[in-house]
Amino acid sequence: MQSGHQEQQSHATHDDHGGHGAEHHEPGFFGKYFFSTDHKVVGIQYAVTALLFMLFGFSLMLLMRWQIAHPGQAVPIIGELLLRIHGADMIGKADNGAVGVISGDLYNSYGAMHGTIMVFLAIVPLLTGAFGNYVMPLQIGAPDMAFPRLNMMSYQVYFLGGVTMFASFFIPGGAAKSGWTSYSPLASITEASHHPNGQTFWLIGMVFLITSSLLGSVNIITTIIQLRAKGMTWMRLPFFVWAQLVTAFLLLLAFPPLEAAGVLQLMDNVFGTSFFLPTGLMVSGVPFHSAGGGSPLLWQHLFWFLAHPEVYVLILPGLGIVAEVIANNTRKPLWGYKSMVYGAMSLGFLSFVVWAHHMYLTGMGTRIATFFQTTTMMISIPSVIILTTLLISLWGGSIRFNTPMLFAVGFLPMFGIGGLTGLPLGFNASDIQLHDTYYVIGHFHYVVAPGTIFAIFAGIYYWYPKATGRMMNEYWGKVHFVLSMIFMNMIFMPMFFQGLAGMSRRMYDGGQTYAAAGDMPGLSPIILGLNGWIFVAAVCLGVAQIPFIINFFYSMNYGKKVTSDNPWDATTLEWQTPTPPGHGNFTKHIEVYRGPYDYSLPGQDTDFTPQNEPGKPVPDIHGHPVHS
Amino acid sequence: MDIPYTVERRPDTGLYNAKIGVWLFLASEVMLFGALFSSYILLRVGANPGTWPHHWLDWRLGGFNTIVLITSSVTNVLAWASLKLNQWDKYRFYQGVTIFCALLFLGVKTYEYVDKFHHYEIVLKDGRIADGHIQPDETTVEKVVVEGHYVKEHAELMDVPPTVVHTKIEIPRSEIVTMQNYGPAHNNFTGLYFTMTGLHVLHIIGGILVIYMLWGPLNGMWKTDPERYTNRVEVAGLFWCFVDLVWIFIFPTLYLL
Amino acid sequence: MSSPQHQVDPREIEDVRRHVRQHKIIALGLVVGTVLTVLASRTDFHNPSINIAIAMAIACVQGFFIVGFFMHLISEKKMIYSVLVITAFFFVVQMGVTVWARSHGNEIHIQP
Repeated sequence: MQSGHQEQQSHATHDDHGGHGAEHHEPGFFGKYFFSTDHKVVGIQYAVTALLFMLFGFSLMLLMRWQIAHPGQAVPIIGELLLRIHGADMIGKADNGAVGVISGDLYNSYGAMHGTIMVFLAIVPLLTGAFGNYVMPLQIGAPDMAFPRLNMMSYQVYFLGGVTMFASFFIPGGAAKSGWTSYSPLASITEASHHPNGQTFWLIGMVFLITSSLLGSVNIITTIIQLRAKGMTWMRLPFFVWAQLVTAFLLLLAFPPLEAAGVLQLMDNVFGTSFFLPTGLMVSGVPFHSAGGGSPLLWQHLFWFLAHPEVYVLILPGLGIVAEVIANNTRKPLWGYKSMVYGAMSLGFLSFVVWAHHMYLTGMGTRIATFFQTTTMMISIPSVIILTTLLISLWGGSIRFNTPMLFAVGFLPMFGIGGLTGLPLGFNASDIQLHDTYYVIGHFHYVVAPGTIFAIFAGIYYWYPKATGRMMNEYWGKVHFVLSMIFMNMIFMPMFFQGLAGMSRRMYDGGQTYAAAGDMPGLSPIILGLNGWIFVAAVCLGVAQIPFIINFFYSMNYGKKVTSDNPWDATTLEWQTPTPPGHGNFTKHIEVYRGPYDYSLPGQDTDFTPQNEPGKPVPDIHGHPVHS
Repeated sequence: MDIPYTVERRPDTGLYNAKIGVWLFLASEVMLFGALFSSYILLRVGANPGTWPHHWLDWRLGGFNTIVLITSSVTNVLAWASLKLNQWDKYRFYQGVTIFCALLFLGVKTYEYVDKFHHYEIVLKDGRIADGHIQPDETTVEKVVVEGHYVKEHAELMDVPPTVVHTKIEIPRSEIVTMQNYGPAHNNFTGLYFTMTGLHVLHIIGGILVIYMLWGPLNGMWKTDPERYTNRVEVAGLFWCFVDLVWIFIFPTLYLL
Repeated sequence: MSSPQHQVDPREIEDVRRHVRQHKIIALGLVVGTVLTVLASRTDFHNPSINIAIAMAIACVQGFFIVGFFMHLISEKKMIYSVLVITAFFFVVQMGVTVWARSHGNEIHIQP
């Protein structure tokens, strides 16, 4: 089925407005692909851009892991290329004369940009920009987003932000190198001789990305509130939509303080203010020229006020995707839908009051540490509730282990490990040992990498047939899953042991400096040796993505064609559109009569009943017919 | 394809889309300016005693600007009310006053900013500090001429009594150790002043651009879809009142306290 | 020029006119508030906290009138209120907890 412009009126939740479809003109190539206001096109734009950035961020990680596993050695094959791009300040020579040793500064650059790109340019745009934009309006029965032109602009501003971040690698001084957290004063004194420098580009890029997110959130919330189809009450919304709603609120209210902080740091860097620079700051033994009086901790408070809710932004839509895939592939309703909804809302609410658990080691007093420790423990409750309800949802299901389901089920223990390893970090006392070690890196990567990214893969395999009209190849999908699962664990599990042994983060020589030697205590050869394995696993993980990438593009034209608009026999509304959906989405009037997961209803002909199906009356336990 | 509830109100919420959209946006703006205010509080409370200045801004200019902005807010609302009463000419008049007030505000702000950039603190070799406004026509390569006064300690500049006498001071450049104007880099107070009012000015410019575009080049919609046009004016007005609200808090915080 | 198809309901006319009167009075009140704020700031209360309290109180009252009447929040729908109540809560948290965290009395004391 080809996509075409549907001339008919989309659904109406009330009496007809009178179709306006016939009067619009056909857009040209640029109008259709670059300046489209259709939420599906915008969603795909976000998806393609974000996946490319994810690949780029992944490559940065590979370079870092190489250096960690082979400190002092030159990067093979591309050493000369790196020298050309970064210059001799950043790329050095190994003892044997080979060119391509990543310097400490360049390593920091890669680290800062890997984090920034993965969080702000890859994962969040995929979850909210791609899946949120594409799927959410379909699932609520809407013809598009509430503000289509704003949607288009959100993507364009995101793209600008991405270009700014990418361009920062090529300016004198290179990209930002003060961590994705950009702590002052380091962020203001690094490369202070270059104007503008990578840090300034980073801040400007962040302002673009934050603006894009804010506009997107306004759009998502308004759409969910205002454009639900008739009969789509709040408690009939698919959990994916609830997840998008809470996520959008988190972005809306938590991002602005970081934007304010970013502006203040930009003033520090470019206009010489000292909002975050303390009095008496010395750099390399020389007093730093600034008025002083600033507070580095102020930056940290403002940054983490966003960045903690940000991590719930990174997980909630993923939980939404997993919920959809699990309900569909167990052929039964989600267990505890209401608990999941209230859980998501409390998770969102609590996420605003836990931020300083990232700051336990800043010398804060015990009273304030106790406050944040308490709220942090409280927030584990809704997370566990959601994970448990998803697990219980599997019980008694007639499970179909297709590729999306494999990723969704694989997500569950991975998110479990990630979540549980957060507990010792949430306690002030144990965090003293673990803060800024590899334990933290293991913890958050488990949640985001085999966590959210698996959810994203599940979503891609699941909704691909709706967007393209073809299925992705099942065999290679399973290969992708098995290999990714193995190598993700091989990369991140050892990090917990490294962290417990005391290995710090952000060491470009992989901890070599702190190696145990003779009588001197330090990192054991076993712990350091894990770096080698982790690098190999990382390369293998990269190779494991190749079948996915090929599958993704090949199946677009040669994949097995779907035989119906609803190949997964799903109940939610996005499967009630033509494949792929045209402009305006629905070709028939949509009215919702039931909840989102009416699978295996007794007395029905099929094991699924779509939401817009009025259906036969279902007998209650006394055998009397009851209309659903 | 029509997006439902662009003009007509959705029955259960009683709102049209843009109304929700703009309030959501304003909620995010509350958090944005709130973070700046909390930074102000923190930096001021955390400053060492005697290092935070008072009354460095002219309350008369600030007060005048406050009244100007209040006026623009009320004429903005009256403009919208005129549209609801189908009185196009009154709308054009009131909204014109709104735009004029905004430009007046920007003019006063420009004067204030320029004034700060001409105000210098000059540390001399003999330990004194000269503080005053530079006289550009008399300043040469050899000497700097300011209209101001001398102090012995930097801390004295934090609370300058209004009775201080300004005289013309000529300083040979060879006597100067450092010379810095009262721009954002001067200290955290000026930094916050320029940042907070600067961001506010950006919002004024954005707001008045939207109001102007609706009032002028894009006012054709009044003839084709008057209800939608009125809604757009309302939504722009909500933003404009918010910008006024922020100034209501900025004025006492920066100018008076 | 008025729009030909836009007929205004006479009840709405009276309603809007009433609101217009209200707005003009409030505008005057806001100006008075501003004058009061300036006067209060120039009065010596021997305690700077009192100056701050008065200035913020007047600003809050002015703010209430701008938001309540110029932005007609007072007659707005529940949905908008909910958004703003949530925002207000987080606004207070962000300001309050940040300042509390940095206040004296919250440092760690190491016994010599």
